[in-house]
Amino acid sequence: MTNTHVLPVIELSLCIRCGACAAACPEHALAMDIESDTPFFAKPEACTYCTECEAVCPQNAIQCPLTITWGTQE
Amino acid sequence: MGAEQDLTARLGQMVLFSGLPAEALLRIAESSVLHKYNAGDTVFSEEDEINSLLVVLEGDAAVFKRSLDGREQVFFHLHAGEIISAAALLLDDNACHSASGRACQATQIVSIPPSIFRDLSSQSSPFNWTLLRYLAGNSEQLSDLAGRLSLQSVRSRLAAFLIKQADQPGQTAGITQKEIAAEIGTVREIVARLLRDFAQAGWLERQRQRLVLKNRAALEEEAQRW
Repeated sequence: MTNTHVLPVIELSLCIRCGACAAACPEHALAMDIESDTPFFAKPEACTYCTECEAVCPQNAIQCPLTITWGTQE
Repeated sequence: MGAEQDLTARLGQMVLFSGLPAEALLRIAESSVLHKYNAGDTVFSEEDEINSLLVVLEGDAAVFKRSLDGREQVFFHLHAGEIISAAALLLDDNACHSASGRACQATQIVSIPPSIFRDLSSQSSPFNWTLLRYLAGNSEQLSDLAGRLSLQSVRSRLAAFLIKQADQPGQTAGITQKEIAAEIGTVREIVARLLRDFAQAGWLERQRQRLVLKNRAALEEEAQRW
């Protein structure tokens, strides 16, 4: 299993439904659900984990945790 | 094994309490309260009155201050066997926490009443010696942080932080850019920009949620720049 589709974590209990994350998503991977008025990954495969959604969220309701490891020098 | 015997055994394995006789350890365990926290839980808040010595049994708690605009600066992390509030309890009966504490992962902390702590301090030389060494180490750590925050560039602090994180074996939990900013005394936007700079220089590579460090020599040279 690869980590290709790891997505930002959205804590809906903190979300104020402002839609800033969906508006900021450059790939339109995030969208607002019309019925529940909450953000969701409409196109998860399009998410590049750019962390823009985390940056713009005024509630810190979106987290993009990073793991830091050593790789080999090219 | 009962809860008190279990706590006695766990306390006895810690450097601070390892020189104490079994009856002293049992007395501590009997009068202490065990607290369990999940990641993100507040352990204590700035301005809260200090009413116990806090000893971390397992996990990781960050001690930090937050500005009015929401910026945070992490001073240090408390891991198993480490304590907080000792200096304040020795100095003042009505001391308050000068910073806040938050669990970074599942964390267990035992709170020991001040009277028990002061009894130990007044009766046990081995305990005092270990406590003194611990507090001296704490002081050194804070001096180092003060020096880095005032004299080193954010770029150098970030390089040092990345090396430290990557060198930690078994690191499993991820860290957000905002949390990195709180560790190195800056804001998220600067962390994001510097990570892009480091990637462009070939020092690291972004692989979705992974930051893969690729050039230790360059990062170390940057980290050592004052």
